[in-house]
Amino acid sequence: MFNAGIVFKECVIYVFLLFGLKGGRKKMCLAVPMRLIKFEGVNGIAEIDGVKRNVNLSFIENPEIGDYLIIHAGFAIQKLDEKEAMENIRLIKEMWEMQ
Amino acid sequence: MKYLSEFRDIKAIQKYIERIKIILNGQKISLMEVCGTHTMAISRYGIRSIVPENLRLISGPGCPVCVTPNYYIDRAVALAKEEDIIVATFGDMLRVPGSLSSLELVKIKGGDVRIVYSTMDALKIAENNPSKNVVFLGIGFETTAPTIAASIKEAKNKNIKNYFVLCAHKVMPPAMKALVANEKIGIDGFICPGHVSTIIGSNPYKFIPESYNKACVIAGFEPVDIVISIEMLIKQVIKGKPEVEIQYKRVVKPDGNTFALKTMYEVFEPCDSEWRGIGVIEGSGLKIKKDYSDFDAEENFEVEVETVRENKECICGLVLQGLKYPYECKLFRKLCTPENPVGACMVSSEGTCAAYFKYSDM
Ligand code: SF4
Repeated sequence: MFNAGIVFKECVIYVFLLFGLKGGRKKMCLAVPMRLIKFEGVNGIAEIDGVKRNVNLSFIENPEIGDYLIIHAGFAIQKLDEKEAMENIRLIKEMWEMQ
Repeated sequence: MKYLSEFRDIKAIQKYIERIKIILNGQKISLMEVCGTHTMAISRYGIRSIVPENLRLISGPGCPVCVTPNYYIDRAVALAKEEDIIVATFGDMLRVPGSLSSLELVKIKGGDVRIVYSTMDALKIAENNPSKNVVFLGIGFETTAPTIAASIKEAKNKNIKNYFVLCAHKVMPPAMKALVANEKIGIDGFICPGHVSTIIGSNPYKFIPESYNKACVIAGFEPVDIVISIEMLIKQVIKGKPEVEIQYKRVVKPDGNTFALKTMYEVFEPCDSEWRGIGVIEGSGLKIKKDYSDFDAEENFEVEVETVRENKECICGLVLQGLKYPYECKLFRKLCTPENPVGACMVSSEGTCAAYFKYSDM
């Protein structure tokens, strides 16, 4: 059965999310990991979408080229755990497929 | 970008919201976030408007600039007026109004105020300007404090004698304790801060479920992270089994970042600290240890600071505790805007008033 109220609410939600997501992409939020492309000692260079930043690696155990790093105020504060990221994504996809 | 699209998947968000509605089943629950990046993300993605009405999402004191009291800003302003001092700061401090002035106004009048991206940049300014004293404004929570500690250690190692920190760092768990104990706010659970927890881990929050019977989930910053965390929290509340869970496992580990913690506590020690609008919270601040007092601006500079004044109309203090919404402030959108901020909560990009101004039509 067609329910105009529900359809309208869904549309509002969609528009809200779409705006939010677009705005989110434009901004380079500090929550977005950057990839380590070069380092010497504790000084490294990390990159995202062509933007490069100097990054201090003092707080990272065994950094490696290609690591995705969470960066705050010029310091890497953690490596992204890819196994956990994949597990998150698996759960999201599972949710997707649920009826 | 790595994995980003999955964590912004609209269909997944809608599904989680549907599930949240079913689990809530009409029950009233209030959750508070205490991280400025969460405040911004919740507003930006319109999450408050898509969750059921009986789920209240409150913003807490997660914006470091906002919780910094006026007397600190006044002190920074007084230092910036001194001829031989360069004040170095992260950008969001520049426009915060103090009692009578701001760093931006001092800069316009010729004060040497420089914006840096990292403390190491401030240290370089000190090295390049040996005839001046460089004072870095050390504000921020556990995410930022280790980076400032690292710069102080580096200054000591390199024997840089003209680098100082005006320290007003804060730690989050004691503030959460004060908030959870305040029944007027009525918090059922915390969306725990993702980056603070990257440093401190999940253990420091354990007292919240254990002593206060309230839920805790450490959340990531993408919209899917946030709705998953909300679902985890309301499940804990409804089952009556509060605990500390980590949703942001791809970054946060139970023990946090031990290297950063070690650096932080080598240079700083806990102290009581004043939060704007909330007052002094026991053990909620960090001060520079005696061994590093040569780098403590508080110890090394005497400046005359104007009498502290607060704008009586600004209800920032109540907003920071989740007791009022920004639109309940008389000045919101009228006299107080991001271009002309009256209070700190409108200045910082992470402030609750700024978030409501930008993303809410209320
Ligand atoms: S809108 Fe402006 S004046 Fe009102 S509480 Fe927020 S910061 Fe203060």
